[in-house]
Formats: sequence, structure tokens, C-alpha cells
Amino acid sequence: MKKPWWVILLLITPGLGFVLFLIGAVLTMAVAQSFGFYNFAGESQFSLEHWQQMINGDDSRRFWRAFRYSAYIASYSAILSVIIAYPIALWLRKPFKGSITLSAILKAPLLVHGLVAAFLMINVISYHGFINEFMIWTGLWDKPVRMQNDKLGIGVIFLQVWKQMPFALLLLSGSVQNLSDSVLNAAQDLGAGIIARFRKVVLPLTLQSLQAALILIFIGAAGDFSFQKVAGPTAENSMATLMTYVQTDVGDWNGAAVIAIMLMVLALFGSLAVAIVAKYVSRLAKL
Amino acid sequence: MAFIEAEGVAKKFDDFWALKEVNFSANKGDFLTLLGPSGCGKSTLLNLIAGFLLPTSGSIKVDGNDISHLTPENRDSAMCFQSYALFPHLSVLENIAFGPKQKKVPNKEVVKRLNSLMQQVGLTEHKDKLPNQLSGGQQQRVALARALAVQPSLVLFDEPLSNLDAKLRDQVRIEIRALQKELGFTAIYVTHDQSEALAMSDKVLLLNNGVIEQEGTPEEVYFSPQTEFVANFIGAANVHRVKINSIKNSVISAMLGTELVEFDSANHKALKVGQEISICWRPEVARLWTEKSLLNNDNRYNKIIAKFVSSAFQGAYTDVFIKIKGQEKIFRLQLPRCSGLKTDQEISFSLPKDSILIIEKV
Repeated sequence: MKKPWWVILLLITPGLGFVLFLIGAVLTMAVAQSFGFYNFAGESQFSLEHWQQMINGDDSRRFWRAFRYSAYIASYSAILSVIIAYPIALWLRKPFKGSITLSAILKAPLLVHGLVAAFLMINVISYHGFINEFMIWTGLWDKPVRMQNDKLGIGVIFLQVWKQMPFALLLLSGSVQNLSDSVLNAAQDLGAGIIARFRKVVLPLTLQSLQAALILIFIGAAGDFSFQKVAGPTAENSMATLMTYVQTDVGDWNGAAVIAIMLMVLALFGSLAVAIVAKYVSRLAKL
Repeated sequence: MAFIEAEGVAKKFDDFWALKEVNFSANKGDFLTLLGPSGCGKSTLLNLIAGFLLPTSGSIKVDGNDISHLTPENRDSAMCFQSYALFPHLSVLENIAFGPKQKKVPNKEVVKRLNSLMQQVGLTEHKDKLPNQLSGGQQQRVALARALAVQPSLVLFDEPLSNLDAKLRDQVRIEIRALQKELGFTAIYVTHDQSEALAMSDKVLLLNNGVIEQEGTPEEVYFSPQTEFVANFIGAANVHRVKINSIKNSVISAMLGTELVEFDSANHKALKVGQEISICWRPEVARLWTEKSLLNNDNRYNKIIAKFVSSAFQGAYTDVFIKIKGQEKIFRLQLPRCSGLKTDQEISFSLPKDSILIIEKV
């Protein structure tokens, strides 16, 4: 017998309701705060002033710069992590002597906290770090080179890739290992060379995990705080560092809420972009 | 000249020889079956022909050209896989079109082939479905159509029916054979199912432990097994050792327990009295011997007395297990409409003299 809709709703409420409540409460509060509610420094009332101020007003230059910078760091980190992880996942698809050890070593950064990794990285790239000391010792460099807090945020991207690549590898390994040998053999048997096999079989069949890896890394890197604080360019703010600055140093909770919402918008746009590209790629595979 | 020829083909994995010096040939349009138990090397041989494996030694020639070291995509063959190996992200139509597109067949020709194949395998109404929306039989048909779409001169089948239920298996094997005859391609078919091999093949290659035990037409391997392995693997067989009592006018007499059996020694000229040989007879050639039997005065039959042990009803016949005095071994008879026998009951059965075969190699 088909159950009435309200019975189904009651049945799923304990699980889904709890999750929706947690997400909804945070989201509602952030949205409300961005529109002037929960104002800890003034009157709480509906206002578009904080949005106007951040998007189009005095703070807009700083805000959009941070927005672009976070989008840049997130895009490069996600793409590079996947570009490195994909061939490794394919290489490790079939077990060989030492492949399990290699796979474990590659996933080791997952066990190291991001902040610890950032400080270790500073030891390597700082003005008197291992690289500079080594290069001067070899005589290849006359004086130390500035690598820490570089202008382009390469140190941050390096750290993101170091930290996120194993995560991408974990996601991709699962789907790559699920590829059946006979399906790949069938493609080859029907005349597909190595590139055609990758484009028409491997890529479409691993696209979902590729998409998941890109989105999750993008979202994580877009909201990065610790790597930016430790190794990021001093003249740049990420969305997360800007949000903290606006909230703690300026005391503008509502402005910080606007940045938080825009950070979520950035994550959403990133995810949508990846989804559109994925759809295009899966169509290409059918041609 | 043979269309496909394998000369001294061997394959070694680490220290294990999966195939040892295999030689065979087949003519254009033949349906050749590689039959054998698991691990006998039949799939290895098929993968060598397809190009998924390279031989350790020997060569494989198709139409006179050595293809041993060509990659699969450069061979004029297509394979139907045991697991169907359909592309799960592509529709039925896209699966079938995959091969011709890779081989750069003009679009007009691709459409023509697709239409014809879809009709032949009866999948027109399922053309837009994904493989996981099809039944096992339909998936097998897609796999077959996909292989045929590249119009290969050689189609390889790797146990294609093993995932289907018994009834569907019978139906699809008839369809495969009919298509093969209609389109005239050469087929190499791997199976461990002897009934499939007997029903479909022009020629059977029976493999065991990486070597060919026997090759021939289905009738040859069934009626004239050369080894105990062949006799037992293809159909049921009673195989046992006997000592020759006498040879008179090419008729051999030997003792089967306490029973005297006679059989023809044709093609076995070098046999001597006192020599121990292996003989074999099929359970279905035996019949119950009754007092009213017309066989009573017919000297073409041996009459053997045995004790009933047990029976198992199989539908068209009953498996009757018996013991012959002086023999430890239990023999099997396949008798039509046989029931009501009791344990240790004495029964007599007839065994045609010309149905007892001497096995050369054991």
C-alpha cells in the first residue's frame, strides 16, 4: 500500500530534518546577518548597506581582489592536484611490486595537518630555509631568493596541491580501479588506440570522481585560511583572511557575513563550472 | 591454405607454462571451439589470438600474415567477452557504433551496418537503452552485434554464454551459430561446456594442462576419444583397464571383473595376448537385458551381469550405477525409463561390441 506523503515526511524527519536544521540554521544566520540582522555593533534591522558597501562601495576593491585571489588559488590548486593525481591513479591501477607502499606514501600528507605542513614548508622555502642554504652551498646562487610569501601565491598553491593531491588520488583511485579490464580490452579490440581509450572510455567512466575531486578541492582551497596566513603573499587577502580581518579587526560582523555568503557563491560557481565542463567532456566522449 | 594457423605457440607466466607448443589450424568460415576445464589454457590461447597477450614462442598466422606481435587494435578480429564488456556509459546504438567509428568507417556505411545488425539481433526497440537496462541475453546480443559491426574476418568468443541461464543459453547459441553461417565469418569459441562445443562446432580442440589432448569434429572427439581425459570430459564414459585374453579375427576378448567382454581391435594391430589396455564405453550404449530380449541370440552384443547400486532420474534417461563382480569400480549406465530396481539386485545388460573403444593414450 502506498504511504501518504505526511507519513513519509515523518519517517525521514529524524535524519534529514536534523541535517537540514544544522545547515539551514547556519546558512539562515549568515544570510540574515549579511542583511543587517544579528548586528552586534548597532541596530538589528533589514539593510542592504553591508552588501552595497562590500560589493560596490568603499570596501569593494579589497573585496573583489580577495575574491579573485581565492578563485585563482582554488582553481589552480584543484586543477593541478587532479592533473598530478590522475596519471598516478592510472599507473597504480594494476598492482606491481611496491605499489601498495608507494600508494601509502603518496597518501601520507592526508595525515599531516595543513598548519603543520605550512610551517614545514616555511622551513624549506624561507629566506634561510633548506632550498636557499643548499643552492648557496652548491654555488649556483649568490644570495638567497625570496620564495616565502611570494607575490603570485605559488607557495600557497604548492601547499594546497601537496595537501589535496592525496585526497584527489584517493577519490580517483577508487573509480580507476573499478574500470573493468575487459571493457578496456574491448575498446582496444574494436580499434581504439591509447588516446581514444582514455578519451572515450577511461575519462567518461571516471568523470564523476574527477568532478567530485575538483569540486571538493576547489571549495577547500577557496576557503583556505591557514596556508594563506603562513605562506601567502603579504599584499593579498584570501576570502577567509579578509572575513576574519573584517570581523575581528574592523568589528563589522555583517560585512564578514557578506564575505561568507560570497565565499559560498564562489564555491557554487566553481562547482557549476566544473559540472558544465564535465557535461561537455562526457558529450565529447560520445562523438 | 588454412585461414588461421598456430605454430608452436607457447605462453609462460613467471614459472608457469600456460600453453606448451600448441599447433592448430582452421579454414575460412569454420567454427572452431577451444574446449577444456578451467586453467587448461583455452582463454590464454584466445587472448594470444586477440593480441591481449604476446606468445613466449611460436607464431599465429591469419590469412598467411604473422599477427603474433600486432596490437589488438591492429588485428582483423573482434571479441565477444564473457562479461559482455559493454561500455556502460554508451547506449546500445553507441556501443555497436564504437568499433566502426574507431576504424574510421564512413558515416553512411556505419548507419547501414547498424540498421542491419540491430535487425539481425532483434534490438531495434532497445537502441537508446543503456546496457544496465537490458537483460543478460540482450546484453549478449549487443556484444555480438558490436563485434560484428567492425566486420572482422575472425570473431573470438570467450565463454559468451556462461552468464546466461540454461534455456537462454540454448537459444543464444543457436542464434550465434545461425549468424556465423549466414555471415560466413570464422569463429573461435572458448567454452568449458562440452554440450555447447558439440552442438556448435565444425572442429573441436580439447585442451588440458596447456596442450591439445585431441582435435577433430565433434563426432570424432565424442565417438573416438584418444585419452581417458577426452573420454571423461566429453560426455560420460566408463573407462577401465582390462587384460587381453585372446585375439581372434580382430576380435579381442578380455575379462571385465568376472565377465567376459568382446570388442573390435580395428586400428590396433600391435596388440598382444596378456597385454593390459584401457577401454572405454559410453553409458548410453548399454541396455537392460531381459529374457524376452531380441538381443539374446545376437552376437554383436556382450551380455554382462552386475549388481544394482543406486540410480538418479535425469528426465530423458536414468543414471544407473552398478558394480560388476571382481571390479572395485562403479560403472554408470544411462537407461531410458528404468525404475523399481533394488540395491544389490542382480541385473543383466547388453553392451554392443562395436561401442567399446580402445584408448591409445592414458
